[in-house]
Amino acid sequence: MRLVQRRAPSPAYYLVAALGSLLTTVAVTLALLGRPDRAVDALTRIDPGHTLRVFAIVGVISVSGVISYRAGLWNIGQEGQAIIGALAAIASGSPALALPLSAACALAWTLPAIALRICAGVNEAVTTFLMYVIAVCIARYFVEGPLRDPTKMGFVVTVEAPHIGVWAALAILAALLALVTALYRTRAGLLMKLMASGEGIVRYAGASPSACILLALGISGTIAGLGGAIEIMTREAGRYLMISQVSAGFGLYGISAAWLGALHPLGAFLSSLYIAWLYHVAVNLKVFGLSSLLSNALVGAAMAWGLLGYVLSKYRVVLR
Amino acid sequence: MALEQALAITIETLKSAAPILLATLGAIIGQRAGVLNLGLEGAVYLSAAVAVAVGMPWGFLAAVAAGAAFNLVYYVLANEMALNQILLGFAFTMVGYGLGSQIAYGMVGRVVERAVVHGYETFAAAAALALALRWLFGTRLGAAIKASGDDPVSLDLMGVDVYRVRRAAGAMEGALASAAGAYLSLIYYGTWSEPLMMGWGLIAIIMAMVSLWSPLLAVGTSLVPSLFISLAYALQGYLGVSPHLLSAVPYAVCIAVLTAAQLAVMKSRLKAFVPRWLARPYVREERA
Repeated sequence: MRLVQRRAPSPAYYLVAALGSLLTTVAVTLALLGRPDRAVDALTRIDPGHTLRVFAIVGVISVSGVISYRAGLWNIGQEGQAIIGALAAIASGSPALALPLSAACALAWTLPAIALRICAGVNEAVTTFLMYVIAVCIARYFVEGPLRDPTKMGFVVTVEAPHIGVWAALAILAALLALVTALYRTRAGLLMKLMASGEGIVRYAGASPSACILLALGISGTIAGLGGAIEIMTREAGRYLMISQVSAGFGLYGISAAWLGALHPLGAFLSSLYIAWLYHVAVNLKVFGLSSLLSNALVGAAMAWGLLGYVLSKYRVVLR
Repeated sequence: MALEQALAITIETLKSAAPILLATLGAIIGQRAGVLNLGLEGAVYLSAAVAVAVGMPWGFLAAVAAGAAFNLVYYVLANEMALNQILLGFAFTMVGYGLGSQIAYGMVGRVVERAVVHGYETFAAAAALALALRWLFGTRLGAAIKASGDDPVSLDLMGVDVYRVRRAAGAMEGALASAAGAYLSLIYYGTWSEPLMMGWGLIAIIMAMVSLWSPLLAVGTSLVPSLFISLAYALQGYLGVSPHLLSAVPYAVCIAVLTAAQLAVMKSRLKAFVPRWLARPYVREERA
């Protein structure tokens, strides 16, 4: 088996990837539930209001992925940044302050990984992933300690985050998509995309690679933090964190949506809808008594399909 | 009393260093072959789940077989299909978490029959394995693995199938990581708990880099995070600090140690130890 480069990229293969992911999900659901009627139920039972909410969260975090990966930088700590964003939203106490504070805290959380990449050349994928694990530990500390709700006796949860509606979340998503699209038409945006071709190319273009890394990873982390804040603030009830549920998994969902959407803001927007559906399938599977982490397997498989779509759009597979 | 405590911490350190060393040796083989496999974390988790689900005595073998196969799938996709190694590894970790949790779903909190092995002999065995790996890197296969990570183009031009070499490295990496996973559930913890099994593979990936991809150095570096893991347990009662904050310390230490190693590499001739094709896909048709 050999890979031969295409004359021009063929984005249609992202559709093939989405179809592959869909078939994988259907096959896994059928295999796990055993009976076709239960599988159909798990695949089709959807709450439209909740789907819109999940779509908004995944959409926002996918934009974070698009910014990072189009710059050839591997921020895979969106989940950790989202956790920090959610904690900041809880601590803020007011809807007006929640989003700016989440964005600032998530940016601050991403800065060590950025500084280590710029100053010591440490791979940002490794540091952002480790920072995610640390974020989980810190969030558990905050749930039990400084942010614990003293009024809920014997029930270890944080105080509630302020509330925003789903439509506000969708408006934030739309604004982010418009901003990112506009950003890619500016010199800074172009330089960020140029980073994917190598730091030498950016230097040749007369810009500083360090500034591009700071900008791309900084924006990516900030947006992921906003995603975390939106996740907790758009809940109809129970806008708190629990010890066992500090990590909601939306970081992974956002990364998958970014890749399935061909790292394009519009593509990420569309694939976020698909990932939102996948989320519901995972929730339904949990109702049928399966592990809650199974959603990670389904979305991880979707991400692998997205990566395959990227390769197939650039290369032909030749069997010889 | 202080001596007793120091001894207890030393034994605990060796016990928790055993899985880290085993998985680190696996990561060294993979990274020397040019593959930065973050999916190793998923392989450790999945094999721990398979081991606990099958139980003694076949759990260990089943875990190694499952983990090696899982890792091999990753290697085929990352090399033959040239999928982004880092993101595919992340996806495989998530798939590993999902599959593992489902496989061990009924085992949560149940105490399993433990192997009659103490952790420190396992560490000694893993250290012997590190010596064996050092020897392997001097053989023809070992040279091919190193060349696959340093200069796959030349290796290919010499008539050696780079993809086959990487598959062999992937199988060995998977087997070692799975041995670490099986050790965790069957010997170290003797039970199944999702949070307890997470993070070990990730530490191993970092320790492979910190040890400059040397199996013998890995014997020493694997003791660093395990010392902090043991201290976190031991100091909980004394410091009055939240256990959640203490459990973050080994990961923070990993970042600090990795940064120190990276700075040392940047400013010295140690740069020569870094596999030049690490995390870069090798597409045969694009070779210069």
